[in-house]
Amino acid sequence: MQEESSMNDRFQSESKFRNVFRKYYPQALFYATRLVGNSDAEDVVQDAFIEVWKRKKEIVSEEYIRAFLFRTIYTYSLNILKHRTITQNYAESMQAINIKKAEYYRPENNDAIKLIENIELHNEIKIAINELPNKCRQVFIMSYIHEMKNKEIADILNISVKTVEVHIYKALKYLRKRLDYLILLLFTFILNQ
Amino acid sequence: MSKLKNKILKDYLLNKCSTREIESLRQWLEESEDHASQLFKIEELYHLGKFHMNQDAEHIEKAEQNLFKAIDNSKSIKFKSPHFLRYAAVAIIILCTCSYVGYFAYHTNKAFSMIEVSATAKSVKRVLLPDGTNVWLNHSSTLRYPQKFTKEKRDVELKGEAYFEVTKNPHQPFIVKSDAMTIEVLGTKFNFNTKHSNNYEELSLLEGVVQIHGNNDKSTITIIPGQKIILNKQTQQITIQRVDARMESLWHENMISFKRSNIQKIVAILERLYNIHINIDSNINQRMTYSGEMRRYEQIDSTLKALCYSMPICYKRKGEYIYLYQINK
Repeated sequence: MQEESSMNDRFQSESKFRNVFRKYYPQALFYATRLVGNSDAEDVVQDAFIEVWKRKKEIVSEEYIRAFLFRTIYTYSLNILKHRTITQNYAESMQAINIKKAEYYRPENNDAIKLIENIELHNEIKIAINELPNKCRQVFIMSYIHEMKNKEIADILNISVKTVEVHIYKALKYLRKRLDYLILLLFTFILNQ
Repeated sequence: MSKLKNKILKDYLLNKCSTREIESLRQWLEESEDHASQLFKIEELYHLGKFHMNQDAEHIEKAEQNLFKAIDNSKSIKFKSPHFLRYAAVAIIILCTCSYVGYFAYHTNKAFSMIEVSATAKSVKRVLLPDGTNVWLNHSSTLRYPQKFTKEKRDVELKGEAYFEVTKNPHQPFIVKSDAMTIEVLGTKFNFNTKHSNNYEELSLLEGVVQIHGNNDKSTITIIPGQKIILNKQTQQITIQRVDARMESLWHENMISFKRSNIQKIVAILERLYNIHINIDSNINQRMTYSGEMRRYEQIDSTLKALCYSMPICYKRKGEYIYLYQINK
């Protein structure tokens, strides 16, 4: 009887853990990607979640898990970055920039972390992009999400480069009106073209 | 205080900075404390917009599976202690005794000898059983079956995913055992996946009838073609869904056959086979259909090329991004 209840406890803590994982994985992955880049981010996040798993009995609140997760990712990422500066001979200036960047992303910096956690913001960007007219949206996604060149987009869609430019211009004009606090983002993006 | 040149900012975001640009960016950052948070906030927003468009449920589920694989591995590593050697010694003695006994058992009773077949992580393996039943083993799956079936029944064990085409024999039921359930059939076609996202086992039926018993439960369930049964190993809960059963077993086919399929249907099949996402241009005629058989190539490019020969469409690919569009006349 007792064994059964401990089994139930185990299942309960595992399913709780799985829920936490699903909820925080995207944020955690984004955070790690900003720090160490695409190639190592998934490993860093996985290792951090294994640490959470090991401590799942001590963990009381979700707020604590979140803080622990971000802190662990940050520590692991710094280790990787340190290792990289030793093995890869980065230009000195790039190293200086990366140090400042790592400083910006430290888990105590609310500015950086708040943006990542702001689910409404993410949704709003998504919704706004989806509101664009069909062709316009297609062009914009190819350009922004897939970082394709205007010439490439023109070839694929069988339209002129000029038309591609018009679509992007229209998309940006609409998005700027729709998401005013993202002006910075869009302002920089228009320079892409 | 100077302003950062737009060109430098743009090149930095796209990771295309020249050495000189990096140098001036660094100087700009060192001018004031504010500059760092200005720059990195822009960078963060730029990537945030992109990132969340790309995160889908499938990606998260895959990561979850990998995580639990890693957790299981880290558990087994723990045994590398001095104690482990002592246990290992005991285990080896037991193993020797067993194989000694097993050796005699093997020679006295042929029915005891089990054959184990596994597919590698990258290939699908076809197995022909002594009764004529065909089994296709999906990647990293294992099937155990006796060299000779007994008169009363045909018992096999499965780990992983397999597609079965069972030879009909009403007097000798065919029984598949997995961790969580036992399936009994007389002669059918079905797909059985025992490791679908860790906690679930799934069975979908293409032809005939199957009976399912949960291993921890005495009740029996019967499903009909076009139905799929999902068993949650944790809660023992069972769900039955209507599915396109052919899609579930698609992985075992070398030739993909289409019957008056429109572009949506074809793309759905290709996405499933190659585990990719395909974008369809809005100008493609949805009423256009295709019937026939197509070879399934290792590379998606070869399959897409073959498709483009057969239909008035074209494709473009850049890395993960695949785009299908119609040729304008």
